[in-house]
Amino acid sequence: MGMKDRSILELEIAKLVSDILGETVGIEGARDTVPSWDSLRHVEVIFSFEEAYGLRLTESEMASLRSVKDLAERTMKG
Amino acid sequence: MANDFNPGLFLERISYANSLFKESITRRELAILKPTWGCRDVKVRFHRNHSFEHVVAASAAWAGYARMSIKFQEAPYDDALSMNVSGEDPDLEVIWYDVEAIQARLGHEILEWLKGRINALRASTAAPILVVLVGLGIEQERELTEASKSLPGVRIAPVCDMLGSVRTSFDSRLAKISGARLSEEANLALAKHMACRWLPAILTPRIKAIVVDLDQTIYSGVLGEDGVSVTLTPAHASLQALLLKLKESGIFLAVVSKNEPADVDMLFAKRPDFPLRLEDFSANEIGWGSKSESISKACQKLRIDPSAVLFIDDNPGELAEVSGHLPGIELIHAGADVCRTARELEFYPGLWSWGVSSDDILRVADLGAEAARKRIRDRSSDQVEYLRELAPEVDLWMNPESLVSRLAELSQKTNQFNLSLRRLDELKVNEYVKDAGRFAVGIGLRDSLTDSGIIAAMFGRIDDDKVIVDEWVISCRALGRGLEGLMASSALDAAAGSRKTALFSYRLGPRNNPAREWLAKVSGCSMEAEGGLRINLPLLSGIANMPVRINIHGNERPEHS
Repeated sequence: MGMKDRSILELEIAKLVSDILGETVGIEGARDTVPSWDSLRHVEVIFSFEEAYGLRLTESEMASLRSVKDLAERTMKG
Repeated sequence: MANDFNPGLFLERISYANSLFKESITRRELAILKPTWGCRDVKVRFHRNHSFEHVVAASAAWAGYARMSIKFQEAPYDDALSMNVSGEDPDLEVIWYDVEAIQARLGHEILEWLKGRINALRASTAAPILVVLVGLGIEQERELTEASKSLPGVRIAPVCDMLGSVRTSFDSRLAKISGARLSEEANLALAKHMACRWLPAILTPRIKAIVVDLDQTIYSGVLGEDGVSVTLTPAHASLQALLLKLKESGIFLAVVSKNEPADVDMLFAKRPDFPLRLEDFSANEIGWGSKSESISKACQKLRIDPSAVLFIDDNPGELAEVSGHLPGIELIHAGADVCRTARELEFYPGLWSWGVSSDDILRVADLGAEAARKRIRDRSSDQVEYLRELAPEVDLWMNPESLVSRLAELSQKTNQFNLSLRRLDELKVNEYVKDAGRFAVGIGLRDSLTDSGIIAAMFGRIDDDKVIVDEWVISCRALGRGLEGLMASSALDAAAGSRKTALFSYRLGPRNNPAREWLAKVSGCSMEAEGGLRINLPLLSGIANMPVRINIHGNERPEHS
């Protein structure tokens, strides 16, 4: 996947996170910088991420993927 | 059309329902569905040991469809369920508890512990209580449900049954991360059941009737003169079977369609494959008038208000016409996807109930006997002759603990013969049943045609030499037999002892003319917007000569389910 594809993926995931949190989150968005992205909402983000990309994360991935970029990176791994 | 009809909102709601009840919906799709119509805030206080937030978040779209917006307070995790309540009572208390850990500790004693915790909450709040327990076995859940029937305003959610509908109930990855172990599929199912079934069944009156169109709604095709030019697809057969199931749960069915009556008769006669028979419909209005007028006529026959009706039609224009003329009526658009229509009907807010009572079952048959009662009245020369043939029996149940739920239902749902509109919930009814100095009378009625079940309730207080009637309600379907005064007088005789005076409270409501007119007639007094009217007992002279048998019972009705 090239740079352009990666950018589109990050935008898609930022939109997904925005839909779940009910507020606009950019591609730099992360749990550390978006206050509403707390641990409980994170579960909702993960549920929707898994559903959208047909992935099933491990327990440790669920905890360690903390940003739009992390999620995009995980998607690219397949 | 009524001035406040908003075609934009009407179409948005149809579109919203199309999205909400498609075959499967994701959390993300739910998150972006926002109702554009007004929703009532429902304040909920959770008592929990695992997270509910992601279920409540997913339930918002369904709650919005039910015109509710769930607002919850901060709730600490509390394995001990201390039931700390402070501040104003919410609209609903929810015990949200995963029993896995406590079950491991307490074993068989868990049910007693849970009963104790529910009792503790019941004692400290006036709000209704919903108990949502994850991890109980089905037998334990049944036992707790049975035990909770003695507690007013407490409902045990059928979680085992709900989880039976999902492929995977638990997700072992989640416990550490979210503080809850339910799978996402289970979360979404739970959210849907909460918003579409459990909360509406506690917080809103139940829909009383489903009115259906025929062509392209309960079968495919347009009815022609041959009566057989229609197709019953498997999806339509399922939809009809669902309607039949709802009828068996005490909801009236009615037909309102633009067809020739003879064609409709022929259709049902020629189609034994239809799960629904014409006699399943308690009212039929088949003709070429407007649907809103036909629904109004059907409602008169059913003795209900159009706001208690759910109307299903394939034509959005007809739905809009009905919506414009009958504000408050509920609507389902029967679109091309019949399975979607069935899903919407299955989860339509206000249809599901906490178990089918004997009164629910009696309701439909009782109305069916109304035509026979009218024939008796028409051929009777006077009231005595009418009653002699009808042979009514009035059963008075004094302070009946087992009828608290039914008496609350009567108080909350009765619109026309409801004297003071106090809308007593189970907790308040229970106070009348239990408190010394107060009384509640449940009144059953049967005649030679049917058992009408418990159709009236009186709530009052004894005050020295008089009895104060706080509330007096009679179900609409029991009106018209001329027994209102006899039932009131019998109830007062049983409750008031030798007292010679009764003070009836009353309040002007939008539809309670029948009750106020009755009071004005028996008192001979004019009425203000609200107040009390003093009446000398007995209410009616000549009651002793009426051919009506009156039975007075203690505080239980064992056969009531």
